[in-house]
Amino acid sequence: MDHDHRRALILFAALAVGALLIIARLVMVDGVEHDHWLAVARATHERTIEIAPRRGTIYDRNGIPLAFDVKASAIAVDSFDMTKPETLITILSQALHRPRADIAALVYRRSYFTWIDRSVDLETAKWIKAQAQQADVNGLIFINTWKRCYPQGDLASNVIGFVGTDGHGLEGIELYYDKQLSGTPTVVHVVRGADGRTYDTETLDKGTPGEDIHLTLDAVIQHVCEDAISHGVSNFQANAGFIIVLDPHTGAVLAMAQNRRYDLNKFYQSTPEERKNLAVSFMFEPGSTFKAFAGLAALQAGVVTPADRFNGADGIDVAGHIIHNSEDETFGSVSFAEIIQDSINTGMIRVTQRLGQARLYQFLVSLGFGKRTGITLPGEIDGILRPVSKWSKLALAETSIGQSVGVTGIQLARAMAAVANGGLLLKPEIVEQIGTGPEVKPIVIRRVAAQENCDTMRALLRLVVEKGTATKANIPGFDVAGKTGTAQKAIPGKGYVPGKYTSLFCGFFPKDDPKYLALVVLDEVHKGVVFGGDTAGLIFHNAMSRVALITHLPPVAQR
Amino acid sequence: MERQTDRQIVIITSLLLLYGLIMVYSASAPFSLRHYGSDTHLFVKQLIAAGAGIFLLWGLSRFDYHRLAHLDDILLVGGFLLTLFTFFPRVGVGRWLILGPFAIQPTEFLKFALIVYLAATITRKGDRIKTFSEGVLPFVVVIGVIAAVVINQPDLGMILVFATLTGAMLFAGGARVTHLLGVVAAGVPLVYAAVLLAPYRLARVIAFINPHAYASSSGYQILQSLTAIGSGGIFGRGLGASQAKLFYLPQAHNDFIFAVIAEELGLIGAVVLIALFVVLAWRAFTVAAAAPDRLGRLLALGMGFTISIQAFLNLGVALGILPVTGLTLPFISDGGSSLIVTLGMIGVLLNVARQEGGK
Repeated sequence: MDHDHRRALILFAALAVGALLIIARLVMVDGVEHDHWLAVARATHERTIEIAPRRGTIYDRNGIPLAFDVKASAIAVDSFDMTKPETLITILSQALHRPRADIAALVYRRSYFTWIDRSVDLETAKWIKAQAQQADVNGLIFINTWKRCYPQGDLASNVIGFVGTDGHGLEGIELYYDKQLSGTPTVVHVVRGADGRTYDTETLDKGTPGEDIHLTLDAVIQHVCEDAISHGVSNFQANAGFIIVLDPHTGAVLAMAQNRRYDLNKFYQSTPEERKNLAVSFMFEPGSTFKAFAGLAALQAGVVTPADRFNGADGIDVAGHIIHNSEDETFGSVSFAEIIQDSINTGMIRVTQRLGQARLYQFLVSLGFGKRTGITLPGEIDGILRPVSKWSKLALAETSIGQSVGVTGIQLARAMAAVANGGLLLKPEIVEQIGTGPEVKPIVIRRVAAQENCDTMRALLRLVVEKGTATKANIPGFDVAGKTGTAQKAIPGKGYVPGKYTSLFCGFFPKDDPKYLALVVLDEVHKGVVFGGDTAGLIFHNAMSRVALITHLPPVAQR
Repeated sequence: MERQTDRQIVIITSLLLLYGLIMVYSASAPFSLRHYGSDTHLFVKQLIAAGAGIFLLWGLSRFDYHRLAHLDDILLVGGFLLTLFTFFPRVGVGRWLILGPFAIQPTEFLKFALIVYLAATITRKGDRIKTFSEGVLPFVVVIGVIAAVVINQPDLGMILVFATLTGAMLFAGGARVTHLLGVVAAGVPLVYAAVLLAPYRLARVIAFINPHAYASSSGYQILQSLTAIGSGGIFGRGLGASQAKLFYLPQAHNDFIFAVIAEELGLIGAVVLIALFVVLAWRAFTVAAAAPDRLGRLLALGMGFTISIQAFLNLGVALGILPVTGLTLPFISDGGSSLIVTLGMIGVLLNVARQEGGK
């Protein structure tokens, strides 16, 4: 009995040792290695998923939607679960109008999860789902998502921009305001089973929906301008052209139209050329439109009055270099008013010689040339206005007639708006309101000239349209004032190239209380005359007479 | 002489049974829901098995173990024949015998029969157990025949249990240690051959040695098991919160249910479970010590030792100490045969305890 008892105790001891070994191993795995195994478990069982919120809508100033999200389906294949791949390929290529080979390459990919299309409209997704069910095909994953829609197609494509497949803006407003439009995603933590199902979800961050953006653009004015510039560019066989329409009192951009546009819904078919927003990223020499600013500088400095007379004969020797009038036309003694009206280079140079380099330069700087305007659009460039210390002996003369400086459309329009509104330089605005935030108020950067000097210049600019170089820009009854420009194009390293011109006109109306200011720029007119007044001026007339009509602007005579 | 039922054994058994039922429900719910449409499907089956097991326990606790010992040949032959039936087409699938809606595992019943047979035979042999030819060799032959059959199911784990319990009972019954060691020494080449002959077994052994290298195949179960256990930490994720049971861990509700337990209830829950098995084994040994005769002592020892050693072998697998063998965790794992037989074994233990100090 004793012997047996001892043997029983030995057996129990063996069991106890086994139990202790197991507990020791448990302490090792559960205690010492706990962090490791927990990390392994997290990596295999848990996922943090970000669900993009609905992106904000982009509206024009009257509430017309220009870009918005609609519900859509993102479709992927789960190759683990998939059955009947050939049938699946047939269904998908049929529904998505994509070649079989493309779909097959995705379906047969050797990864667990493959995107087929990340934004399929709901109808198509429903059809695919039904077809797959009918054919007993497994392995399709449908995820609710959003699809960006641009209901106006190519309207204002250069301003609105578009959203890439990852849901982030790649151009225009979509890019510049991506953060506001995107909002923040809903962050969800899920426990997923090896069967692919989600078993436990916890919302870590509710996220915020994207904010709407209300543009200052007027879709109707934009459309009219796009129509006019497209016709204009094709009529004059120009390289390209654009129109900027501003409210001269607020700096709000009402239209930013160009002939180069693309369907935002098919952005992937566009070229970089088409996507470039010319109004902020195309640099050109302003030519004679600059006489308005040099002239205002001279008025502001008190060195000239409209009645002062100057020698308008062709050819003026500046530092050994002869500068001519347009078409080498010669004039006798001309008043300052006539110099502006007929755009007489020699006269203008004599006016600015009274002013001097420093004062001209200072005035142009105060008008914002040589520096980005800060408009909230991507791709804006500075333009070129060299510091006065680097000016050659020719620079004063050249600058006064808009040569040797580089400007952007938005700079030029904004500077002319200062003349039109009585002397205030404004920050140009493309966005009126973000989300439910406050409406953007006009930002006055500085006063650049006294009201009476601006009144004087406006009167002179009215003469330009009435009987000067821009008679074709006139809109009867609306007192259009403005300035033409026909600038030889300079190419880096080559200087001015014969036959290549930038033709432009910048005008506003009605003269005494301007409602609209528009700048029309044509790059390289190849047909007929190249003069700004005959080309850009005509386009101005075509576009803005329709704008006046559509917006029920009362003619001056009836006020 | 009749006595009161051993209250401690009843309490420990009840705790283990309850522990098992709760964990079967937790571990099998996702599986049941997916395959049967109701998360309680396997749990209800287990409840029914528990009822049957309790009935068997009650019956055996009142059925004199001396009379049970007389049935040893019938039990052993019956269990063996049932096991043979698993090789019949239609009724047999692997380790299981399909009888209408029930799938039974005959080796579980064979295990019970083997303990009764060993206790009865060793008692009958008396001192002749100390000889090799009569004391050890016949049992080696019996185990050899059973092993030769069971290895084709294939169920190496159960053979391991059979061999261990036979060795333990021969040891407790007075067989010479040199004889037992000799048999073990002779058995090593056989096990080696068994491993080499079946590629899946070799893979399991290699996977056991280096689970990370086989993370996607044979080592998968061990890695998933360790991930579950290790992620539970000291206190566990909480009852029902296992992630491994979401189809990452194969056999989460039977062979690897311990991993789910450790994941949900942590080190503390696991140690409580181990302690219950140790206390049960201790009670079995004290019952054996106080048993009225040698038969009772061997029966009590055999039942208690087998339950606990199987439990620890199962835990060893789950913890990666032992190669994957496919053993159930007594009381806990889902599976009617295992639960019913385990409760039956407790019934025999209780009967021995009732007769304490008698004769």
